[in-house]
Amino acid sequence: MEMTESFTAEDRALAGWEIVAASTSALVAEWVVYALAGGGTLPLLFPVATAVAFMLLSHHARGETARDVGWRLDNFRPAARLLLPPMLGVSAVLVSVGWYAGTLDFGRWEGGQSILGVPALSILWGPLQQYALQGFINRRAQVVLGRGAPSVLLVGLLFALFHLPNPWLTLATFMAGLYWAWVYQRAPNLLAVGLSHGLMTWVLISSVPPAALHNLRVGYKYFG
Amino acid sequence: MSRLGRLQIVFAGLVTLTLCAGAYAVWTEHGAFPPSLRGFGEVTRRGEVAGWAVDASRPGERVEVQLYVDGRFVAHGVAALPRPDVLAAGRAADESCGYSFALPALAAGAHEARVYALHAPGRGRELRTLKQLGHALRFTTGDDGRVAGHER
Amino acid sequence: MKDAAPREQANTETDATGHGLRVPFSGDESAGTSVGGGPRRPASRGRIAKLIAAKLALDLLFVAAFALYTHAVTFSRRFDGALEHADGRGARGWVEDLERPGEPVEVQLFENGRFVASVVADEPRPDDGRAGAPSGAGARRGFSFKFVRPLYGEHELRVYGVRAGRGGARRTIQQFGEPLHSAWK
Repeated sequence: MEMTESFTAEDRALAGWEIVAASTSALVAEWVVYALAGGGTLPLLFPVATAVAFMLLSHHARGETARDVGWRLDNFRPAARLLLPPMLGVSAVLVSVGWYAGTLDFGRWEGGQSILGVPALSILWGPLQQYALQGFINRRAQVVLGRGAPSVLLVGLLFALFHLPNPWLTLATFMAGLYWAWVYQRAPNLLAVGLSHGLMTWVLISSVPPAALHNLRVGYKYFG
Repeated sequence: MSRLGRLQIVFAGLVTLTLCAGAYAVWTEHGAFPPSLRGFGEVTRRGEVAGWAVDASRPGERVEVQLYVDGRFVAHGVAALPRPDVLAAGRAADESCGYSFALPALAAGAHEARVYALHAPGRGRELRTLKQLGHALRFTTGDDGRVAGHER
Repeated sequence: MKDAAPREQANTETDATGHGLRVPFSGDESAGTSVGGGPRRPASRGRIAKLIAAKLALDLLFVAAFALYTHAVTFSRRFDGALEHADGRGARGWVEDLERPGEPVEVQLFENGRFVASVVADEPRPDDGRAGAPSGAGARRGFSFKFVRPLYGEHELRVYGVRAGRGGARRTIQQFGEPLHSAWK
């Protein structure tokens, strides 16, 4: 679906508030739940479930199909073609650094803590984040700011915001967020960006020792 | 005012209230159980609970620690034993941050030890808190009362 | 929008069945814009606005519940009691767990802000015959500290009740009664 048409001020305002309403869930989970609910994952269900329900209902209200949002296969190849070169480049750098520093360990993900407590489920975590970030926030950002640099920048900034106050992760997610947002605006395919997200996370944690990234901790947990 | 304008005021109000409530909750928690209190503990074969405790916001000052076993108070102490390994690992500002408690006589079976840092939030003396350091330490004692096994 | 605003108000006031909420956002002024893709189905604006309001309100309720809970477990008064007597050899008093009356309470004694000792208050109190208290089973529990080394000089003593939270990972130590000043030569 092309989004080059002009939207009314009301459309833009509502889409902007939709971005806010989706973002509050991430911030509530990272700052309030992490700070106050200890290690339990059960309280995380509320922000995750309300955010997912909100986004799905919003798609429904706007008449967006799964295909519109980016759950499709026909444009997987063009999306992958855009994604692969920088992925290979960044991976080469990370693996070289890891190899040089002797910190390379491709099995490290199994020992890590995944958000749902099951390491194998972390494969779903990339696509889920990218769905929220691109399938929802990027699409609404295009309503507010139009397609192009401003909306791509907004997506990158929000993705970085969700990884505060972890400095290196914030920087990394800002850069990666910009690229994924740019690719998504050219070839909206969530499977491709989701896979890219999962693979790059795997390469990152395999190359760099966990302590250097503070165990990927974000929000209040970063201090704990 | 337009309907959109009124709506936006409602949205902004809701978001502001959420931010305020969240900030209050996190601020209260942060004051009562500061993340700067850090430490670690383990049950040793010799029947001790030993580890280290630091307050990153007050480097160089000793942290008071309390040991509870199975939910009951056992001992109070000050973490000031030499732990050069903790200093070398960059987790403490000086090496005097270790503690060691002897376990009391316990019935044979499974037990759980928890070590807490004692904290005095705010200026008043009406409230103290105990923040658990590390995980709950599960261990078992044999018929002779000695530590038979432990997990981290 | 200028022309639409008064009409919208009229709509919402006269038609409260839910249709009225749909109409204001699908007013004539927006019907003129193209209705191509999903995001610009004008009839959906009212639903989207309600959705945003509901989502933000749910977030607020969730966070406010956390805030109230945190405030309550940190600051709400959990214990009633008193440090009745103290000298250089020991101290004694009583405590009542206001949330679980009659249950034993861990009591910690601090002297001039320093930890001295911890005991479990579980002694029945014969003087616990207040009105409103459950007959027979008194809600107050007595405690007494015996100092290993006598406390000479002047001291400010305070007693605290210990409550566990979050499965034991957190404990708050709340003062009850008034501080007691003791002098022992």
